[in-house]
Order: sequence, then structure tokens, then C-alpha cells
Amino acid sequence: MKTFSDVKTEAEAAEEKKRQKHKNFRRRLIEHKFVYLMIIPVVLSYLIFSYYPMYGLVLSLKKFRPSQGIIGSDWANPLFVHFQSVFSAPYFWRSIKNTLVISGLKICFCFPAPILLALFMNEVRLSGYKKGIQTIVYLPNFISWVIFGSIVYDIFGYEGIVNNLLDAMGFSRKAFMSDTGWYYPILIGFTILKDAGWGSIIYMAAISAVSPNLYEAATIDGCGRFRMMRSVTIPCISGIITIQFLLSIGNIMNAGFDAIFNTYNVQVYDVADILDTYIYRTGFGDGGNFEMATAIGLFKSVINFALLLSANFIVKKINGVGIYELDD
Amino acid sequence: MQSINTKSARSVHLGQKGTGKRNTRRKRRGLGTFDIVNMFLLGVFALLCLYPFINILFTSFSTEVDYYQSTFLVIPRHFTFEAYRYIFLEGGILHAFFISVGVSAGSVIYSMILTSLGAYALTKRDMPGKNILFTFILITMFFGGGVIPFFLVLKDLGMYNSLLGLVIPFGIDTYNMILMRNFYANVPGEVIESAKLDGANDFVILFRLIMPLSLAGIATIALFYFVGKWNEWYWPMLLLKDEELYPLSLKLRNILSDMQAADYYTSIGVDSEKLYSHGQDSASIIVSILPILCIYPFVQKYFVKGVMLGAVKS
Repeated sequence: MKTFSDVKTEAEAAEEKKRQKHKNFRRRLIEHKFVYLMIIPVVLSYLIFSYYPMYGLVLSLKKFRPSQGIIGSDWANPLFVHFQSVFSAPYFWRSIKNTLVISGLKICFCFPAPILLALFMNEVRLSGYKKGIQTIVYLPNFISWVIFGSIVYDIFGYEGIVNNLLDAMGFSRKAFMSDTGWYYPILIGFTILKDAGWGSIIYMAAISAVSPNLYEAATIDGCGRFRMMRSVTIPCISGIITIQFLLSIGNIMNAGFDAIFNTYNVQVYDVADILDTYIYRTGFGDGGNFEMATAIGLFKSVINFALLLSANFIVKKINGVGIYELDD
Repeated sequence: MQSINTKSARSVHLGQKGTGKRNTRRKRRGLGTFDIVNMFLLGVFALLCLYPFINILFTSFSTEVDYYQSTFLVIPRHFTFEAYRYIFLEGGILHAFFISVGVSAGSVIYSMILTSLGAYALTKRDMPGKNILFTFILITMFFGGGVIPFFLVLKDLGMYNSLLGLVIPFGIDTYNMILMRNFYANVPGEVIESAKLDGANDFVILFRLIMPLSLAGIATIALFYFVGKWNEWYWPMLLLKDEELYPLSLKLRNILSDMQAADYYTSIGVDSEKLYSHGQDSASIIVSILPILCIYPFVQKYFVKGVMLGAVKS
């Protein structure tokens, strides 16, 4: 039973706590004064180079005059004229289709590649050999697509290695790089070559965290190595696989500008022109149209935003913590 | 490391129990069929990753005759340094190389300072406004203005056709900043507390205490920034007008895309004044990946750790 005086002290305590908290808040403010000083350049950098361009998206509703800048230019008339021309442009729909197809292919083929690589690298017992393989397969990540683009041509170009081999075997040369049917296999193949190694690091980390006891138990149960992979390793790393998978879904609108820009050409635009390359050519190509390119960019950003947000939401549901969240 | 321990623990266990002849035999022989096939396949994949670079390296030492006689791999039968001599004498590539060195070095320093400041602030758990700051930063990972508005902003700020324009706008990569924050958050709180009691302010704590204690993280992230800048060609392509200012990556892109165009013309039967330049192109590629290859072995163990830390945290 609470007595009157107890209630009173409780109220007093609450009051005291509130005052303390307030004082605490001021104290914490002062305590972090240098930190606030530190983040000034950081915040400025974000404001100028991330938030100001976001405001620049209004360009898609304006009639741009370079001399007047984004803010000074008049509103377009009608306001949504650039969006209208975007949505009625056949190449726009082509680029959407290609973006989705290429992202889909990447999820089917490029997404599992690093997982398989990690699983099999994990099975290598000679640690020297394993290290050597790791050193080599991580390397392509550091080489730009400019160079990889030229490697693609070295191999599949008209005078490339594959054609040299065909020639040597008595077949006629084939223009692989201008053939729409060959573009996807070549692109996906080289993307795997370039990214699988690097992507495997994260799975290697997850695998090395699996408890040895589980493997021991599985051995007692008479599991072979494939069975062990299927019943122990994969379930144990399924969390990270799910997160990575959702992240790739969230990034579906980014089909990989660098890879495509450095390997495509007019002959394969039909299958290779993605949103990003289309935006680039609309804005900076012949007769560049900044407003229309911005409108396409805005369209892309909005969809991307929604996808990433949903991916994050689902991860949070499964994991308890979102993809991008501080852990405390 | 741990996975290796796992394996040995398992085989010890097998040895004790002696379950079946096959296992004991495998233990004695060391490697089973699975191991051999697995190692072979991985070896093939690694060779596939390596092969193009070996081909480029060999091409750079080859003559025109070697190049056109080759099928699968260019073999420098008439070994020559001609391509490299050309690069050094002609000077364009070398000039671009030094521009790249300058821009990359400048941006690594600028980025590391800015990123460290932000990362340090994000480790402050009881800083008022911490969540606002984090949200403010996070939004930019989900949404952005896109290429054209960014380009126009840079133009507005006088960064067109200037090397500063390749550094200042790209100061912070949010992903790197969060990764770095995870490294900084690993520094034990007691160390920081005791430094505070000794009267150190946040600048001293960050630059004299936390950064020296997070060398692995700093090496990783500096490498990421360096490689990103070294390989950057897109923004230089949009922002730079004078060829004098071109960094190597952009110069290389222009050279290589000319080569790709020539390849197309050959394929439709138009003779595009065939000029042998593969040797020089390959030598340029080698020159451009040399710095990365030089740094790579030293930081490999760090970035593996770095990426893992990032992975475990997220």
C-alpha cells in the first residue's frame, strides 16, 4: 500500500529526474562541443553535394536556361512536359525493360556466384593454395571497367582471342560484340569474373563464424562434405544471404552503368541500353536535354528509393536490425 | 583461420573413432577426390581471372608480328620494351599518370579527414542530435539528385574544368564512413575516458588516439578511396574540358574506346587504317594498374578484415 508521503516522494523524484535530465542534456551538449565543431565540414559537404542536387531535381519541371541556372530558370509550360516526353519516348521503355532484364539476370547468375565460390573455397584444406586463390580472385575488383571493357574486346572482339581460335579451327570470324544475342552472356560472364571474388569475402566471414561443434555433430551423424555444406553451412549463413539478396532486389534499378557503358555499342543498344546509359546520352549526348534527363533520373531515384526502403523494411522484420542502422 | 581449425578438429575426431577405412585413408593421403576436383575448379576460375592480365602484360612486351601470330595467348617471342619507351618519350600517358597520382593522393587525404570527422561523431552514443545526424546522412544512401543536377551544381560552384572538382565534391562516401565508424567504435571506451580525464579534447582523441589505434580500418578505407579515385573516369569525362587535365583513367578510356570502334569497323569490312597500337595500349594498361598492384599485397589482409567487420556489423 502506498502512503501519501510515498506518492509525494515519487512525484518529487520524477521532478528531480526531469530536472536532472534537462541538466544532463545541457551538460551533454557542452561536453560534445568539439564534436559539433567537427561535423560542420561533414554536414556542409552533405548539404552542398547531396542535398543541393536533390533540390536540383526541380529542373525536371523547368525550362532550363544555362545563364539563369536551375533556380532562375522559368517553370516549364505545361509543368510536366518533360515527363510527358519521357513517357512517350520508346527508348525510355526499352531502357526500363533492359534494366530489369539485366538486373534479373544478375540476380539469377551473379548473385549465387560468390556464395558458391565461398562454399568451395572454404573446403580447400591447403591454406597456402587457398590464400593464393583468394589473392587472385579479389584482385579484379580493383581494376576498373574501362580496362575490363577492353579485356572483353580482347577476348570477344572481331580480332579477339575467341575469333582467333575459331579462325584457327577453320570457322569464320563472328562479330560477337555487335550481336544482340551474345551481349548478355558476355556481360554476365565478365561481371561474375570481376565481382564474384570480392563478393565472396562477406560469405567467407559468415562461414568462419559457424560453430565447429555443428560440423562435429554432422560428422558423427555421418554427413559427407556436400551434405555438410547443405545442412550445416548454408543454413548457418542464410541470414547474410537473405540480406544480400534483398539488397540486390533493392538495387534493381542500377543494372551497372560502368560495365555496360564500357562494353556496349550502337549495334547492341536494343538489349544493352539501360536507364543510366539512357540518362547519360539524353543529358550529355548530341542535342543534350538536361530537363528530360533529370526527369528520367527522378523517375529512377523514386523507384529506387521505394525498393531500398522496402528491402530495408523486410530485413528489419527478419533480422531485428535494418541494413543501415547503428548497432546500439 | 577458424575454418582450418574446424577441419583439423574434425579429422582428429575421425581418427579417434576410426569410423571406416575410407576416412583414415583420406586422412593419410591428405586429399580426396573431392579436394582435387574442387581445387582444380577453383584454380581454373583463378586462372580465368588472371589470364587477361597476363595476356595484356605479354602484349605490352610484344611486337606487331607476335601479336598477329598469336591465337590464345600473345607470346613475346621478339621481346621488346618499345611500347614502354614510346609511353615515356611521348609523355602524354606519363603526364596523365602524374595528374592521377596528385588527384588520388589529394582526395585520399581530404576524404580521410572528412570521413574520420563524421565517423567519430557517429560513435558518440550520448551526443544530443546523434539520431538526426545519422538520419541526415542515411537519407543520401537511399535517395539522390542524380547525375544531371549534380553536374549542374558542380558547374555552378566553378568546379567545371578544374581538378579541384574531382576532389572536393567526392569527399565522403557514406558506406566508407559507416565502415570507419565501426572501426572507431571498436576502440575501448576506457582508453577514451582516461584520455578525457587527462584533459584531451575530441580533436586530440580522434587524431592522436583513435586513428593510430584503428590502422587496419584506416588502411582499408584509404585503399577504397584511392582505388575509387584512381579508377574514376566518369566525372573527369563530364567535368574536364582540357585534355591537359585528364587523369590516366580517362585518357585510357579514350584510347581504348577508339580501339573498340576500330574493332567494329574491321568486323563490317571497313579497313580503318589499321595501325598497330595494341602494344602501346597494353603498356598503358599495365602502367595504370601498377600502383594498385603495388599497394594491393600490403593491404590485402586489412581489407579482408575490414570488409568482414563491416559485414558482421551489418
